[in-house]
Formats: sequence, structure tokens, C-alpha cells
Amino acid sequence: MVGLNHFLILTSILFSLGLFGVITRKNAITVLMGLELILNAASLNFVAITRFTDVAASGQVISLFIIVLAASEAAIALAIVLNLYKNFNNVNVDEINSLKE
Amino acid sequence: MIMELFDLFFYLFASVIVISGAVTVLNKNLIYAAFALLILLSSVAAMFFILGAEFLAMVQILIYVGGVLILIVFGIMLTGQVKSVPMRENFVYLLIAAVFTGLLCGLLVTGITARPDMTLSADIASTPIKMLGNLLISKYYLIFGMLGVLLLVILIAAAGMARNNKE
Repeated sequence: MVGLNHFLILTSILFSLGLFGVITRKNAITVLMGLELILNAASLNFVAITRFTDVAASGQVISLFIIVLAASEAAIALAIVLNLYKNFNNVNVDEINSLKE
Repeated sequence: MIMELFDLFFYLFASVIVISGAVTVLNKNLIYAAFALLILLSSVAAMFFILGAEFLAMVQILIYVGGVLILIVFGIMLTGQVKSVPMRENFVYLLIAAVFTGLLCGLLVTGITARPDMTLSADIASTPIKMLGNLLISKYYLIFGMLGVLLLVILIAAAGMARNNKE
């Protein structure tokens, strides 16, 4: 019988996968994908807690806010990545280590 | 009967989420990683659906699959590094990262399983959208308004940053 703990374990696995992606990848866009994994884990957590306890849909509202923030974060991060590519000709986060070109 | 269906869907979508998450993180081809991310986001939407949050499932598909993923694919294509994206070459780094995140995951799982599980009755009650809207404009109206301002600022900032200002 699937309960709240199953969902929490699933989201902790998803969070760990996203964290692994963030700290091992070099490409800035894959780092962004790892961030999306982490944000999805958090939002799935909120929805599961809403379902299994009686907090009157507050978790779903927070999850909606998380989705909006993730969308705006992706837009800004892609703009930054495009500027990095224009200035440095690559998007490896290791090699971009100077504030001034 | 309906609880068994719930279990079945949970295990199905949970396995899809874990496998496509691993493909997203480990694949060297960025386009394949983006496709795996597409499957993962859709499965999370399905998970929202079986948790009784239909509105959130629709928002997830609209915004994530329709917006964020398209942005990511555009970013991949505009930066021109589709194939053979380097991971960290050093094996020690990878090992340390795997051990660290594995330990973190194990810690979280032991913490979660230490507390009693919560299950619930057989019917899948969906959250009414009216309740969600009422919460948005009563209890959370300040955050709601601030997010509107944030989205405006983000739109202007992203357009200004991505523009080619050579003059």
C-alpha cells in the first residue's frame, strides 16, 4: 500500500539525482537541467504532503509558485548562457572564471 | 480495487521518473538528455494527476513541457554543443560526487522510514480548483502579487540581456 513515505523516498532519490547532475556536469545547460530535477522533487513533495495530510490545498499553491519561479529562473539562466556563449565561445562552467573579458 | 490501481500507477510512474532522471543526468548527448527531461516532466505531471491535483498537472505540462523545455532545447541549439558534452574527466571527482549524493540519499531515506507511514482511505479526492483560487487571492495574495511583479521584471530583464546590443 503506497503511502506518504513512498512519495518522500521517490522525491529524495530525484533530489539526489539532480544534485549529482549539478555538481558533476560542466555544461551550464545540464546544470540547469539538474536544477529542474531538484525543483520538481520539491514540488512533488509539496503535492504529496497536501494529499496525505489535511492542509487544505496550501501545498498545491506553493507548488504552483515553485513552477512559476522555475520558469522565470530558466528564462534568466538561458539569457545568461547565451551571453556567456557570445563572450567566451563556450558554456563550460569551469572555464568561465573571469568577471571581465 | 481503486487503491491497487493507485499503487500500480505509482510504481509505474516512479520507475519512469527514476530511469529518465538518471538518463537526464548521465547522458552525454544533450538532446537525449532533453528528451529524457521531457519524459520526466510528463511523469511528474502524471504523478500530480494521481495525487488529485489535476490543475497542477495541466500547469506542469503547459509551463514545463511547453515553455521551459523549449527554452532549454533552444539554448542547446544556440550554444552549439549537442554531442559529447564533457563530464568532469577526473574519475575521483565523479566517485566523490556519487558517494556524497548516495550518502545524502541514504540519510534522507533512513530519516523518512524512521517515522510512521501515512496512508489514506480508498477514494481519490481531487482538490477543487475553486479552493485553489480562493487560497490564491485570500491567504497567499501577497506572494501572488509579488510573483506577478517578478514575472514582469524577468520578462524585461531576459529580453534586455539576450538582445544583441552592439551599437
